[in-house]
Amino acid sequence: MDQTQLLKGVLELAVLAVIAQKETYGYEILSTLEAAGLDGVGDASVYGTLRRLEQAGHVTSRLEASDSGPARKYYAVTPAGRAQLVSGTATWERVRSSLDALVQP
Amino acid sequence: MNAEVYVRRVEFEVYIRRVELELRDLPWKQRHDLVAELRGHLAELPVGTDLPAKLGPPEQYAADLRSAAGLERRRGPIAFLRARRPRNLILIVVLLTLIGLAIGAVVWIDRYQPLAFGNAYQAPLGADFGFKGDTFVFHEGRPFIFGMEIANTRRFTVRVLGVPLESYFPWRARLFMSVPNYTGATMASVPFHSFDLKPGERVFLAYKGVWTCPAGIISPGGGFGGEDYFPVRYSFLWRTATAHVRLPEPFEIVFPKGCSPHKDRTHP
Repeated sequence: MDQTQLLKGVLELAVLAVIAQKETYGYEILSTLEAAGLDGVGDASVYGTLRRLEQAGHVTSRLEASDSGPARKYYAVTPAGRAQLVSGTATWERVRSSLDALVQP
Repeated sequence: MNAEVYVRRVEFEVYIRRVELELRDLPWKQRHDLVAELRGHLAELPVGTDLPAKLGPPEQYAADLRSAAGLERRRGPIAFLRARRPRNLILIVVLLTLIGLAIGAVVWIDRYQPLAFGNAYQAPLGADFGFKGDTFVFHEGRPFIFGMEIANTRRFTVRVLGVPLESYFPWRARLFMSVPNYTGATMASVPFHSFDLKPGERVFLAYKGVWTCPAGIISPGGGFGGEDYFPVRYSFLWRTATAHVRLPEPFEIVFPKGCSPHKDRTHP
């Protein structure tokens, strides 16, 4: 099965989880997701998700000058974002348990 | 900057522009933020990254971005205006206003005609003033004078250039003028020269000379006329025009003895 399609449903949770670890920026979030094995999700999808999370008030952003090029946009989780992460994680656990029960013999 | 870095920057810029083009319906600020983030992202990519392979075609990148961010495609005039950069919108409005003002100014200048009949009018000797107009009687070789006072009734100065009466009129005469805002009955006393007529000023212009036969032979009792204006040539800024200053009454010229056919028909 195409991992990309599966990931799209939980991308918001994954991105939120990465940002919850520490304040970070887009490229680093992508690198973290890829290092965790969640590759193939698409850079544009991650940036789009970041925008949606920010619009929803789950993350905030700030610009910081970078030595290597344009200013970096750093994201941090808000209290609402943490609550969303807890809620999303619980939902994910339920779905995973249900799916495990179905797919495992 | 070496060639490789330059090529890479051009490649980035082309990619960014194509993505931006796909997002052109979004409000300018939103699009600007997304493009700035993409620019920052591209700057982070390792040297040698195959851009289309890593990010996909620009159209696909824009579509994925739009989909993940929940950005619907916007249509209509409001969306069109919001998609423009505010500074550019202001520039366009200022530019259109200036163009409108310039067109308005040109139209206004093209129609500016401040000359009107003053208070004085001088018809040839022996003129008969009737209810339906004035009748000037032609007397070949006798002194002739015909003129009127013009006034500048509006707010800007114009330059008066002359009185181009038609050449077929039956007189040989020169144009004279008064000084502006003359007093008393001075009337036209100096040969005409072009002059500036200021707002509120008035000047008397008159043709003085002798009656003489026109180019055509006019038989006794004949005549021509119906003229009811005094043509005054003037200039205002770059425009030169003729004002048809209406006479108090239209006039007609009659020829009780006609014109002698053996006379010189040449006319000035």
